[in-house]
Amino acid sequence: MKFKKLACVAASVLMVGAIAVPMAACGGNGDGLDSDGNVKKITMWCGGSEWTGQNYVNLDNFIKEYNKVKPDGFEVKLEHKPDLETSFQSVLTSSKLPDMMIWDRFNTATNGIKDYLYPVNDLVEADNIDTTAFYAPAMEEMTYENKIYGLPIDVDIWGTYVNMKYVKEYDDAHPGATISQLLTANWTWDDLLTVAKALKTTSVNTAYSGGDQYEHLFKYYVSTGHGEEYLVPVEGDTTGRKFQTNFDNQRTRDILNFFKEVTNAGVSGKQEADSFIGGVCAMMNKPLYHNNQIKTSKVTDYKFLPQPRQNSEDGVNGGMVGGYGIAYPSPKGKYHNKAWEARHQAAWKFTKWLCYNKDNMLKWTKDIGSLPALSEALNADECVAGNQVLADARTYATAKKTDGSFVYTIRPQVPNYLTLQTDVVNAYVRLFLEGNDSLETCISNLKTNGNTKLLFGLGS
Amino acid sequence: MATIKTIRKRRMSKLRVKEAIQGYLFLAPTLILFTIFSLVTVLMGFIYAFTDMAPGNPDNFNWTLANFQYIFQDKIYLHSILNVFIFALMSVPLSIVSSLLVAALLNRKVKGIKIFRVLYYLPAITSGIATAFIWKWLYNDNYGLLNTILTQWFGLEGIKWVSSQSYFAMFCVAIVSAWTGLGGNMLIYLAGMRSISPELYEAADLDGASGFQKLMHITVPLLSPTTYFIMTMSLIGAFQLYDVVAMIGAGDNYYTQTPVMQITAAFRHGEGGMASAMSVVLFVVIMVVTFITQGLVKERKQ
Repeated sequence: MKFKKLACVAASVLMVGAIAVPMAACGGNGDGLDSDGNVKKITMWCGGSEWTGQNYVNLDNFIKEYNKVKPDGFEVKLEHKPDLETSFQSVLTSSKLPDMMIWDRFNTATNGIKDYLYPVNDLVEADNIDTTAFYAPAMEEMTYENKIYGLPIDVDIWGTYVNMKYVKEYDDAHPGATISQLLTANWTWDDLLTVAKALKTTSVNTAYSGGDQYEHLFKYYVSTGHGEEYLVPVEGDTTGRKFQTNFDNQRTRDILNFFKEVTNAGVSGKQEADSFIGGVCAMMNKPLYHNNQIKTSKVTDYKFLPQPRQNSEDGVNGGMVGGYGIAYPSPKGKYHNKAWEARHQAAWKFTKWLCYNKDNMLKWTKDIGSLPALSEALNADECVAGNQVLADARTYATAKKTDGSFVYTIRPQVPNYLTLQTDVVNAYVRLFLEGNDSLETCISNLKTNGNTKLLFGLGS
Repeated sequence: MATIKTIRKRRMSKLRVKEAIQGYLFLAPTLILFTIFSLVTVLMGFIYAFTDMAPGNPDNFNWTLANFQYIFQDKIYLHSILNVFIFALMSVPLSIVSSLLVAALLNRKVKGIKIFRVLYYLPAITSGIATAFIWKWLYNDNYGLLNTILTQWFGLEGIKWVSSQSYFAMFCVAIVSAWTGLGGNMLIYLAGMRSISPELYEAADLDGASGFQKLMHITVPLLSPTTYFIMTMSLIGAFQLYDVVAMIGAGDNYYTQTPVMQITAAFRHGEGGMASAMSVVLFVVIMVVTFITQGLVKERKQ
């Protein structure tokens, strides 16, 4: 009996231990410092669908080359997180948070106001970093409410890739009614629809894919230089953070009806990311990063055009610009300690090495394939040498309007913008385009649900 | 003075107490883990549902009913609940009928029957990634095997499978779900069939009953407890649908969106309170459906 009791107790202790020990081992990665307190390793996260496949390989090789040299005496460990925005939030109160992140800049406002990101104004000032040395929209996206959350790495504009094989196929079959002359940097949304209808008659499977086509509502707004119209400040708000939608107007109705026409023409559809490189889709709306995938595919004859302009003589030609920067998660409580401070300084050194150095930015462009955000590198001849897509993209990105502002604009610096885009605009515009909702129901949902989403977590 | 009976009683109860303590000691690790990682987290979910909690700063939140106000005006989430109702109506009968029929076919003493049992169980042990690749390839609109057969072998037009803008897309998902669950349910039915007395079948043979009559009048009624178990588990699983839809790339369809996808998206956007509120609503829906089902089954038994 005694033995039986002892056996029971021992078994229970073993079972608890077998569970508790691995859990305890999940505690942390070590502080990245050597015995003298010098930083020997820092961690960088990259995430999302952009940093996968060939793009991830390119980035990984870039970091490996840095680690071979270790110019500042430490190495960088790169980790990919499929859901970076969620992952880094959940480790802010743990020792597992990364020291820096390849940050999708348009999320800065939403995360900045929640203190999830660590501002570096003091470091920028101490090192005399000239923030005007960067492509202005990119630097603007790394800043919110006068807090600088890092430095921008690149300039990533959205445009339409066109497989010229199918354009030539159509032109050869219709010598009196060719479409290639419409494919210029000055093309309109009507031109896009005309070309798509023509390409539908060729051997291609799908003429046009807008990706998440439903985003076209605000991409259209942004591409025509009216990005601010559909979001307006809440009356009486003194924080400057609260916005509401302004979709209930004729302009929105015209845009939605235009895309309904595109949908009804049967020329468009959402395609897999590899549809263009597989030759299945003739035109696809994608960012500059997609060029890396195309370069290694069987599609050799293609063009990169900007977002079309508004369907009028004075319609502005332009589009949406985004891109990445290096930002720093803000540790909470006991995790904001001396070891973190040391690693943060190291992360800042890496940031300057990459983003504030012309040669390294040009190497980034050569290896990763996006335009550099540092103006000195962006404007250098070697930046786009031998790469027509980059050359065209640079032309579009640096074009200015008569008032001196850039034609390409960033997405609105408004908290909760991402949830407005995905949960409201994408969702309800899709319902309208697929015939599940009327135009007025769509407008009503965009207004009601959009306003609610924009104010989430901002207090009353 | 204690009698022998009393002494024996005292010894028995002491023994029972000792055995109970030993039992609880064995249960303790599981109970502790269940309490911490299940009960407590469920309770926290209920509490956070009434807050604007964000995962990055869980200790700093405000109380609010805005989550539930938004949910009951969000057509997307409400429609996703309807979607899983439809999925349950399709997948549960499909699962039960297919696994019962396969089990009935495999419950025979025929040479090589064990090989067939292994083959039918293979989907249950196939990895999720492999399953995803197979069905994505089968259902692809452009180069999928099914559309290739239709267009190139029969000269017909390709069909929009999971991209269909109707509940046909959900039916395609239900087929995948039934295929994946076939092996497990088939084993449960096989085990149930083993407990049916062969004398009943012998008596039916003597009465001249056909195979189908034996199946409908002996096998199916006697397997009703097994069927009820599979139905209940399948129903609960149906409302928590996520993996199959995500695997085959049907998550972007209004007719195949599920509540769990909405919950995942809310967490991804840092809306912990909203995600918790959606989970509470889903929990209530599943409870109501389960109670109704149990009530109907009890009525039928009576």
